[in-house]
Amino acid sequence: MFGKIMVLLLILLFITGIVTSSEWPMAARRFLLVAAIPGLVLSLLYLLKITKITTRRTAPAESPFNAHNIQDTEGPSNGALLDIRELYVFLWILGFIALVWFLGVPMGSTLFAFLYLRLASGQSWLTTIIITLGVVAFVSGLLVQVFRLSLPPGLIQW
Amino acid sequence: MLEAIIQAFLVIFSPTNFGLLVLAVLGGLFLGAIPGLGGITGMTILLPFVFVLAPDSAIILLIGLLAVVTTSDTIPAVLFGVPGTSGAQATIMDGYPMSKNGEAGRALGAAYTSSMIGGLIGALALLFALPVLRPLVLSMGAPELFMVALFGLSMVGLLSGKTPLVGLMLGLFGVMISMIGQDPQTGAYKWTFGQAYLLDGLPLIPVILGVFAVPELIDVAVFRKAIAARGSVHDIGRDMIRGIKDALRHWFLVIRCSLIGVGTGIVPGLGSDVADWLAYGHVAQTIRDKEKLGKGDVRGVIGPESSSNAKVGGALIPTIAFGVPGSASMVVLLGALTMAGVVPGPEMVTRHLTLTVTMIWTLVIANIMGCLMLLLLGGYVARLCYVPTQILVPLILVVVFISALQGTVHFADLLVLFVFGIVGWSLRKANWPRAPLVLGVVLGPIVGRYLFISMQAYGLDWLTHPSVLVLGAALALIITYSVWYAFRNKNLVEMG
Repeated sequence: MFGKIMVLLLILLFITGIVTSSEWPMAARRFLLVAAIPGLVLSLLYLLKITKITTRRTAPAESPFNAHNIQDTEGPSNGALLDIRELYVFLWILGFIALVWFLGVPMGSTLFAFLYLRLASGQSWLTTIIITLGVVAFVSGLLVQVFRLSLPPGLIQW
Repeated sequence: MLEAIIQAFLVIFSPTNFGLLVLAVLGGLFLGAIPGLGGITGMTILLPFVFVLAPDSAIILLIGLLAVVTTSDTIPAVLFGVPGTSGAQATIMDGYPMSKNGEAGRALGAAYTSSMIGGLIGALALLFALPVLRPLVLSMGAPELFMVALFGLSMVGLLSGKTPLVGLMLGLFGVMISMIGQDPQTGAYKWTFGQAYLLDGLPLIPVILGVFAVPELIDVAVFRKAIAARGSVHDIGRDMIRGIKDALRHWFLVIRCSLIGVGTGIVPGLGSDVADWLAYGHVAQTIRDKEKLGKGDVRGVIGPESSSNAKVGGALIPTIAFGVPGSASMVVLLGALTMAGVVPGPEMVTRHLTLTVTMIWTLVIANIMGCLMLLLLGGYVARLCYVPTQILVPLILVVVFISALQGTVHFADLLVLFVFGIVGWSLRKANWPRAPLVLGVVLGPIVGRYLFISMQAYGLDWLTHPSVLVLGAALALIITYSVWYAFRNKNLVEMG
């Protein structure tokens, strides 16, 4: 189902690309057509292929390296829980983006590292503080002060 | 050529570049030893340095890291039966049993030595390929280069393993994404939506980081991996000399498997895991006494390890000569070259010959350095496996964010990173390949430029050039094969 949604999305994007490019000069549009038309045709073929098939669904080939093979310190995992965890990680990333937007990179990174280590990772206070100080030294000290790395400012200036 | 070799040698041994190489090797060894990370993640994080550093320094940093990832990935494979990267899968077959038999040091010593020799043979292959490639590449005009670039794009199908059709679709979609921005030839605004940020197109760094690094980080964060329990690394230093002697004693096997690695690297789409297993298969076929194989035979370690390191040199050959990357890591390298203003193709054997030879020297020195570091610090490096990956997640995420912001130093870089992080994660969920999409984004502008020049210079006449017809026929064959493969394979149901 997920794959089908992805193909449909691709088809939609190829069609949108072809339609919206009609206002471009031909010299610019030519290349788009060279890519988008074959892309659309191939996507339609693939959609036809996956909707036609009624044979049994096969699992992806088992690879000797699979994240599931690695010892999970939190106990056995199950699919549903993992999806929620993935959502949590995305939310953490979004939160990090918001922090950087508000506070800028040095302060946002520090706060993110502290909160993630303490709340998501469940590290001890000592570990959290030591690693957070490491982040401060790396970002504010090394990158900003020593290397003078250009970083966009946050909404709140420090 | 000799002048370029000497010049490149001097370039690499300048204090800055040599310091960068040491850092790259240390970084590569670290990433290789921790399953779930690996060379692509490391290279994507280092991409912003391409802007800050001179092209030769940036390339030294990237190739130095990539060269040794497949050396240290042996550590978790041998000690815990978990490969550091996909290139160490076959090493487990005999490496882990050797560890259980109390011969971990011997296995690691043999693996490091054969990896180093493999890496050197890969570099030599690249060096010897240059004189052959030079006249071939220089004979090409814009139409031929356009067709070769298209051919490279079509090879994304092969990068896609069991789903060549999906690879082609995603490659073409990547090309479409690369068109965002002001058209360099006509000045037309293409999908800029009135945003000044999009005028120069989507920055490559957040795109590549989003597609490759973010899904890996999510994976690491979600699975909460602990590679090994404390105290499980035994004394491994003692037997290493024995392993080194083993690798040298089986020198002919090392050379044969290294050549397998070089060949596998040249053919796009055959990854490190394929090189690894092919070499293991070769060992199984050619040795006489097979009883011990799979139960702790050192030759089962030597073969795959020589092959996986030699593959890097092989994969560089089509990447720098034709812009046809042989693997996902080469796609990232191609992106780095493009960002540095270096276009793969004729310039790599003329104007940028020194840079090309610098790559060879980097491979040579990084492999030697990586091997020596592991031999000297073997026991300590093995303890990297204790590092709880939950601690690494926020640290790497901070680095990824800062790297992404080097795209245009604009807050929107983070939004691009997030959007492409979702794209990369979705592709992973659907079991679709990610490399073709990025390859499309990287190769798109090159293909577009060659098409424009061809049309301006020859009109439609270039379509009748003999070399264009030959390459066109090859292209048609690949596309037909991809479609045929998809329809023929009844088990290839909707992925994910």
